[in-house]
Amino acid sequence: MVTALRFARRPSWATFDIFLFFTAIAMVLLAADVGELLGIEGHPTLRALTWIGVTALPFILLRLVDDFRPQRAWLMASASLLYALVAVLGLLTPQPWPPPVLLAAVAFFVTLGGYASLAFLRESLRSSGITRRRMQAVALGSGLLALILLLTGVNVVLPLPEEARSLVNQVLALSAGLMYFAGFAPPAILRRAWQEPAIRALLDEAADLVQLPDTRAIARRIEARAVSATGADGAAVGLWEEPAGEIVFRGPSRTLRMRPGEYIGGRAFERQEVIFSAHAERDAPEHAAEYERSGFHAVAAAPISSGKRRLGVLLVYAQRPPAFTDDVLSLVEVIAEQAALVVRSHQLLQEAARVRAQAEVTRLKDDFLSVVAHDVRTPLTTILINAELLEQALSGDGRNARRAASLRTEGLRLKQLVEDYLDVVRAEEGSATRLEPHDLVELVRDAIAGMGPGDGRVTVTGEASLPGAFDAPRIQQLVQNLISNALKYSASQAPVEVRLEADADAAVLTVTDHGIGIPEGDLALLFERFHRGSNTNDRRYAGLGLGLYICRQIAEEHGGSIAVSSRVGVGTTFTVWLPLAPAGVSAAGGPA
Amino acid sequence: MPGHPVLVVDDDDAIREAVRDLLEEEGIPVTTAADGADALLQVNERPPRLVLLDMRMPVMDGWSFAEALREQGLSPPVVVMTAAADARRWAAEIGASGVVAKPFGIDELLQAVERYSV
Repeated sequence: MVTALRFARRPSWATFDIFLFFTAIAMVLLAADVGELLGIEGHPTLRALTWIGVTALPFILLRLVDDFRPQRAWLMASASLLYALVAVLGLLTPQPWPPPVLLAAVAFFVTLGGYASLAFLRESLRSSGITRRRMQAVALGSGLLALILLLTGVNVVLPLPEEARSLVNQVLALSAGLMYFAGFAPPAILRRAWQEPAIRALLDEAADLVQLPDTRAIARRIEARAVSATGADGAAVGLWEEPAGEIVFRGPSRTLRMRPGEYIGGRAFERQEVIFSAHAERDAPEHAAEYERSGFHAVAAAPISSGKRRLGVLLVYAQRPPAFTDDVLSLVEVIAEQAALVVRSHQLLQEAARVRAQAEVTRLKDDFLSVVAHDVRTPLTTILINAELLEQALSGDGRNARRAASLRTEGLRLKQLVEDYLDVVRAEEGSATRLEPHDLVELVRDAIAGMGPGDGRVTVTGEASLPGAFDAPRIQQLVQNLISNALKYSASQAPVEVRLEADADAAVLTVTDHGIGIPEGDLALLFERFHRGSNTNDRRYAGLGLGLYICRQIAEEHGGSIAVSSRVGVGTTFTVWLPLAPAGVSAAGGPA
Repeated sequence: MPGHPVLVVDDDDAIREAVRDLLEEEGIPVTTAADGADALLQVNERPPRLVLLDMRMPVMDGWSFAEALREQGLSPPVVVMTAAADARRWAAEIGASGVVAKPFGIDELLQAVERYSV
């Protein structure tokens, strides 16, 4: 019954023959039971049925051998002919046969059974994993069957006591039946036990696989594992390459690419299900020629997927369909699942390594920058001190005082250029913004105080407190840049107004001057790197054109923005919006 | 402590001399040291009104110097004087009174000296 169901589910010659085999056994058993039940033992019809069943067994076995490993055509033909002859003879001629004829018939069946047994044994040695176990069971069953037949033959020549013969026969028959059952229709528990070593080996290996340097090496090992577990002729792991939209099989000698839906593998990938084809050239006719050329007709394909993430596909192929398709498919599926785990873990590890390497590069650059900064600032310190001392000493001497003053202002300009340049490089290297709880109003006041003793030109109005998450040094730099611009580009006594207000969810900082203003044509590029206003070429307005670019970067680092409005000859207002509760950051706890 | 010197600790000769010049212009006595070890001897010999301390120096750096001061129970006011970006953090680490970032102006240094001297 079980084998009939299997045949119905997956029709093939092998499943059909297995079904036939068990039918023959069932027929013999039923004939005996029914005969006993009805008290018509020895009835001609029953005897005929028993005869057909018993003699059919070795023949069906041979057919099964042929299913798993094709036999020579003449062998099959002559065996069929002989079987038919013996069966018909048995039905037509009166029993018992004369000993020589009987011996000949027995010899024929012993040969058949023995041959089948040896053939299955050879097949088991060729295969591996669960297929090997099942073949071994079948070979043992066949051997026992041949032994039963042999004993029948021996009994003709050398009659044994009836009871001993019957006992031995029953034990042998029961054992053979169990072996066949285990081999051809193993219960789930046995199947799992036999599959376990392959799966366990895979799991044991998985941790090592993740550490392999590249996915190609991982693919090789998974392929080897798939071949040894299923006993297939070959296996291939193709990995999905998103940019190209292709599944790529990188073999040792050549690379094969397929799109989703192409070949059996592409279909398994597209449908995200295990697909088996016993005749790939028939099931994927558009690629029939390639399958013919490769000689691999049976293909099993399983998607390698981690959750919804499609990673690739595992192919297992053979010249002929596997003996036990269900086993192979369940193994292929398990191996594909393991492969997904390994490939995904490997990807994550690679990703982590990349991020680490990136962080290391950034750190090295930061180190280098701070060394450069340090080494430039040190001589500048001496130059500025001496220039200032000179300036003081020469204050009465018009021309020399001007020279000393020039030394100092140019030194200051150099200092500013270096600081701006370092700021830009750091910002572009992506040095992390460190958001911490601060009061923006305090930061702005500190920044203004840090600019040195003012002459009362800068006034701060608006909110008394604006708590939020800010990178304090960066915000102070933004404020200082805007204010020093405002001071620089307006008359020496003109006021600069700083105002702090709260918008819906942002702080609004405005810096207004009454200076030279910015020509309309410059506004669009004002916040770009190295852009300087067309009316600032005058040497009075030293700068590299980085100040506002840095301001924009600082505003954007905080999730905010900066804008400008200006009228030439009237003045300029810069407006900065800084979110008071940027996404993922709480004012109290810093970055979440 | 009028009469007590400001101790300038920096491995850069030019900076030591420039700072000595500008302080002496203001009538403030100055002693100098090129590393922490030398500075430590001088602090023991003659307590300064203030130590202007560079951090990265050979032989004994600013951190070791600050630690040695603590171990010997000495506590002259210290102002960190460095060209590094981490000036504030370093000052906090060694418990310094103040910071002047290089390059600094004369006013800035004088203000610090006035404010933190004992």
